[in-house]
Amino acid sequence: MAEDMVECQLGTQGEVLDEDQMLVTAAGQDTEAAARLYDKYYSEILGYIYHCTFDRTVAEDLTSNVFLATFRHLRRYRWRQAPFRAWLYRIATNEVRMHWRQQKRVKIVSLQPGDDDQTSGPSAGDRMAAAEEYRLLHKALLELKVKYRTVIILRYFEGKAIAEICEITGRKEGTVKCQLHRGLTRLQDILVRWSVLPE
Amino acid sequence: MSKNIENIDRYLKGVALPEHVSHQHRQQLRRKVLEEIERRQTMSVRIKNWKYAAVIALIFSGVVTVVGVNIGKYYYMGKDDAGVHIFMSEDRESVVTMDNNEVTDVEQTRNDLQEIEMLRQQDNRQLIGVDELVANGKLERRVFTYQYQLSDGRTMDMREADELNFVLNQKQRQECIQCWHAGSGEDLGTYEQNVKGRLFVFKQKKFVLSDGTEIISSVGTPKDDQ
Repeated sequence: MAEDMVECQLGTQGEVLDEDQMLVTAAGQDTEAAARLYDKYYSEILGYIYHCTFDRTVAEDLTSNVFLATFRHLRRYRWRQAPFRAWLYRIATNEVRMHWRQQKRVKIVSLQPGDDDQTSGPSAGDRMAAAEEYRLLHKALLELKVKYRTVIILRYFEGKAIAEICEITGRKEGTVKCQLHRGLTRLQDILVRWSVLPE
Repeated sequence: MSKNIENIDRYLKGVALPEHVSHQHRQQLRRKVLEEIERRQTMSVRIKNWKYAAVIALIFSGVVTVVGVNIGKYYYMGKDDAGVHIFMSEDRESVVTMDNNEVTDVEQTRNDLQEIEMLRQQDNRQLIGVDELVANGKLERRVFTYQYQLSDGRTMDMREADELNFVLNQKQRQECIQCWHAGSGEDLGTYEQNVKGRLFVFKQKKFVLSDGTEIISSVGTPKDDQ
């Protein structure tokens, strides 16, 4: 990260802004900066939302909402409060939470991965195997409270450090650690009950 | 890591995560995001024109347009802080402001504006009014009022800013509006002048702003109407 740090006369004189901060500052007026910001985070956010929802169509819809809202409200972003990445994840987490709330209301939860001929990356066989393995786990995650589900997904699937989860969720370290522990305990109980994990 | 969650910790670390990549969605959303940013940039550039058009609308009630070229379609941009409806042309060069009571159906108004624009380009319209404001001898603005006959028989009057010179500052402009609405000022009589092939009778009034700026307002109507 140190190589990315650039001295830039924006905001308070002499402040050091990293690449994201410079791009965010410029993105409101400069489409090239906005495009770079988008390209940098699109796959990451789509992946996160897909792991949360396990539904390709929903993941694309929610990702669209996240980026449109992010760029619409870019001026409201204050980078002293949280890094841009954390802010983006926070918006994504809220979108997912709203989606789950709606799903709960209409009592429809999609557990099947959809078909998408537009996809690329790993082979179809690998994708099927991964999806099959994930299907039960995702079903178990849906049994948890949203707060537990969110921290588990961020920690294990998105590889976030505790400090970063704190920035995304706006919770203190002790709270995040506690939620993670309780969530894992409950998830383990469910998976043992379903014979996915040994007792 | 406490012992009772070691199993689940190990299990989660070994899970093969499903992936989803869609180039089509990525490109579509990218285009949408960038278009939105470009649109907002243009909006922020145009805001001065909206405000100026709205100021004229305050002085002379009715429809005001700041004219551009190659207009095409009109889009509804919503209301400004004062509740004035704002329509913008596709090329973003032309802004039309309308008072609340002049818009009952946004879609109908949009269609009317597009029809009017076609008539305007053909010069199929009638000049029915000329308003001028001169500040300390310099022309602040000249606004023409044109009448358009729509295909369904309705007529619509459009005020079109012919010349805007921004001689007055915002404070002076506000005071000017107040004087206008108060009907104050010294009557300077009338004069006749030919404008765009039609003879107009202008009624002139003079008033002086608090900072000493002398304003002469002239309102012209066709002589053959009198």
